[in-house]
Amino acid sequence: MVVGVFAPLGYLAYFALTSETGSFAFVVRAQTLTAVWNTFALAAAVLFFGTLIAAPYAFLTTRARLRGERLFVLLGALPLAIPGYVLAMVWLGIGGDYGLSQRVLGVGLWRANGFWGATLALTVYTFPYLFLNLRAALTRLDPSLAEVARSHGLRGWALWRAAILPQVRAAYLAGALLVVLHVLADFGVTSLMRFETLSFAIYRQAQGAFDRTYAAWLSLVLVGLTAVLLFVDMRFLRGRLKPVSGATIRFAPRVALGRWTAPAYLYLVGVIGFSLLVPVAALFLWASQPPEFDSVISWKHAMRNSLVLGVGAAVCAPALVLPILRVSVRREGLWARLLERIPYLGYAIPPLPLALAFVWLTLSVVPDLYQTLPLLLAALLLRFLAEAVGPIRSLLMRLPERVEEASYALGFGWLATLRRVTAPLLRRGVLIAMAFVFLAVVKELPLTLILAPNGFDTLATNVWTHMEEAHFALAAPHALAILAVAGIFVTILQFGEQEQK
Amino acid sequence: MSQTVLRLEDVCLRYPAGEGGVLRGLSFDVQAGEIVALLGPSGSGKTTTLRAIAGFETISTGRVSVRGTVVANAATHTAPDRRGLGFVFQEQALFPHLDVAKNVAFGLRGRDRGEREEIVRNELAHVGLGGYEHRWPQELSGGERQRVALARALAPRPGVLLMDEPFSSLDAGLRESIRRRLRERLKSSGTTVLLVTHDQEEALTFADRVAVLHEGRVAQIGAAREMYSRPGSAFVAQFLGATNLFDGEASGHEASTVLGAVRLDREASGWVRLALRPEHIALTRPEEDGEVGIVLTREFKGHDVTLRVRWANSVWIIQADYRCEFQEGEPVCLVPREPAVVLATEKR
Repeated sequence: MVVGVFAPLGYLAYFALTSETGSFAFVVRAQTLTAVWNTFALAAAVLFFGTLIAAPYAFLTTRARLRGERLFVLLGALPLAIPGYVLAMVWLGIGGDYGLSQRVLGVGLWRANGFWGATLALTVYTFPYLFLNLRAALTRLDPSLAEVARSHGLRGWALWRAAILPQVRAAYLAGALLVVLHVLADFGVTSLMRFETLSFAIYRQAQGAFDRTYAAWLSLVLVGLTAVLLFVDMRFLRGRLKPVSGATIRFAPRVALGRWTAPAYLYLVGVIGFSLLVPVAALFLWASQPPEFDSVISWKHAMRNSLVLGVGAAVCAPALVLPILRVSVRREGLWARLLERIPYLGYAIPPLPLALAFVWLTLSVVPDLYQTLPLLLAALLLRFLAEAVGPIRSLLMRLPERVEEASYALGFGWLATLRRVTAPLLRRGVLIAMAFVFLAVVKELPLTLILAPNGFDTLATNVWTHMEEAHFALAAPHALAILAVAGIFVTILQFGEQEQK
Repeated sequence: MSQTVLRLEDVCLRYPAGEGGVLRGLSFDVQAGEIVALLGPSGSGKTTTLRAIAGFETISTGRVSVRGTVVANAATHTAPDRRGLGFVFQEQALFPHLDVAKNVAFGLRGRDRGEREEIVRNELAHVGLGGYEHRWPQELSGGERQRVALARALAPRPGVLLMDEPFSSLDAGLRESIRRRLRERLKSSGTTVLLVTHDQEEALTFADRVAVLHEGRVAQIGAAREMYSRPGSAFVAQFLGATNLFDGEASGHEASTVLGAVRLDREASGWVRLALRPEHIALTRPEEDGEVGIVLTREFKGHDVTLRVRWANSVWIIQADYRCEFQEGEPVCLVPREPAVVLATEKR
């Protein structure tokens, strides 16, 4: 697996460094600097607006007296299920002279595109990461710290700054890291919004201009940026601000909203309307339009292909993760910890450079593998193995080695033990892991777009290609199908969580 | 003519660098129908020994044989499920997805349902958990879990049973009754048992023979009574209960010591290290011209009394019966009741 990640990247570096045009001036030109600047600007804007949306949302659902809190929490997390490129598609189609709002409501809205369009779609897509992290921290808030601060005479903003924000900081930074990683890796939104970040520039160079050397250099820049970000996070942010007093299971009293009640509900409903209802409604409106030509066949075809990929990856992922985790959970030391990090390698690397690296490596080393299903599946597994780690890991931790040994001691071999002990105990975790991987694969765009065999359209690639030609009515059914799959997934997870209690 | 069921010959087990708990040339036998206890301080390798016999650990060198067949040496390692040994885990390791009855029935094979239920009912009743069939492991206390683990290991009637601290979670009263009943049953069925414990009293009462482990080796193995009254080394003497250690110059069956002339349990000559158990020393009123000790503390324990006496610049522990009338601060004289045990010189 390590080879699977490093071989393509190594080849990418080799390719960039050995090409004759690869000089310093070649890389550091206006276009590169613009792409880097755009990437940073987009990340900053998405983080800023995301925080603006998520912080009040998290505060209201944890610290305020509120009806329907659980529903608001669920709905606040749901935008995660809508892929960014679908959101981009929705906002592209709503505004403008021929946009949905003009036709349905008779009101012409600003047509989202470029920087602000990308900011809008990515903010709506990623704010749940901030919300969920903040919410977790606020729920676990240790009220005694605020009480100490209060006993020292602090009030209002000073109280918040001294006793509450420090407790929330680590969780916020963890969420912010996820948001920034998503922006760095994003291809779907920026490409549809025509905003040239690094990922989109790489794509244009590789597919449009066919300047592979420059694309390789841009890829290296993007991978480098991601690595720096992860390093900074690991080096400076991890492990800080862990709670000191562990015993408190007290909960801070909730704030009565008083005359702010109505604005608070308006705000929550507004966020949900903006991030969930509008996109879904728009998709239904487009889908209900009579198609320009018969697209049912292509839809069925894409559905089948998406399912093939999703199921294939979902079946393989636990089989790959289990042996790694079995060792890393039960052994201690540096090697075990490194082993556990392996699945995260593919997750952290932006998908577009990974995809291109795979293309070039197979073309030059094993051309027979180029654009084949096994290669695509391998790339998807490499990228989403990390999704399977969490649920399986948490169950493995509750299955001590001794329990399996007890079965051996009663005379059962490894196969019988697997059947009678290990499998029943891990079943739920494996199912949840499979659901995670399945959903991630069905939503995935850049790897599938670049590595899929000719004519192997999936729901995701069809949304994107139809949108490239602004065929909203054609793209909508595919997007809705993805949302339906995501909905089923969320239901499975909810079910699994309830069963655990 | 008894038959050797378990045999360990010069077994060594090394973990990868940096970890402790190793075996360094461990050898002993267990005969058919015998109960042997492995006793030792933590880190002496008791649990590792048991796990190596069961096949959960792979030995580096040496040889482990079960019923005359080599199951482990440097080259071979028979899988745990093919060794035919019952095992009771200190951690209980109940199957969390099965209820108590299914846990106990786990190892029962080739029997019909009625028969299985019958066995489960009997086993649970035997450990005092009748009616617990449909409880879940998560609902049980530590002691109850430990008894279920015992029942699970006993249900298939293993010919050889390895037990790792099987009574450690039970409270004192229950521990004694379970132990007594289990011993009766194991003896009547002729089961061969190897038991790991850190409790010297448990080792002495439950086992026929006791092996004291020290730093991955057998320091001494022998019948419980023999081990207690004639320990071979200071380590074994101290580990099997409180003891008084002192030096003497031996000649034949006698030695001259701070207690005066003392009888010895065997012939010796020159300077030797000697041991006397607290109950093997009597207290008397000092004579006019003799050496005098002082009672430092006196702990009344109901059925007997423990005293600490300063005598010839060292502190001696004396176990006396309830009639002992010496009070703190009173002068006394120490008189050995039994021959002192000559200990092997410790290797430094």
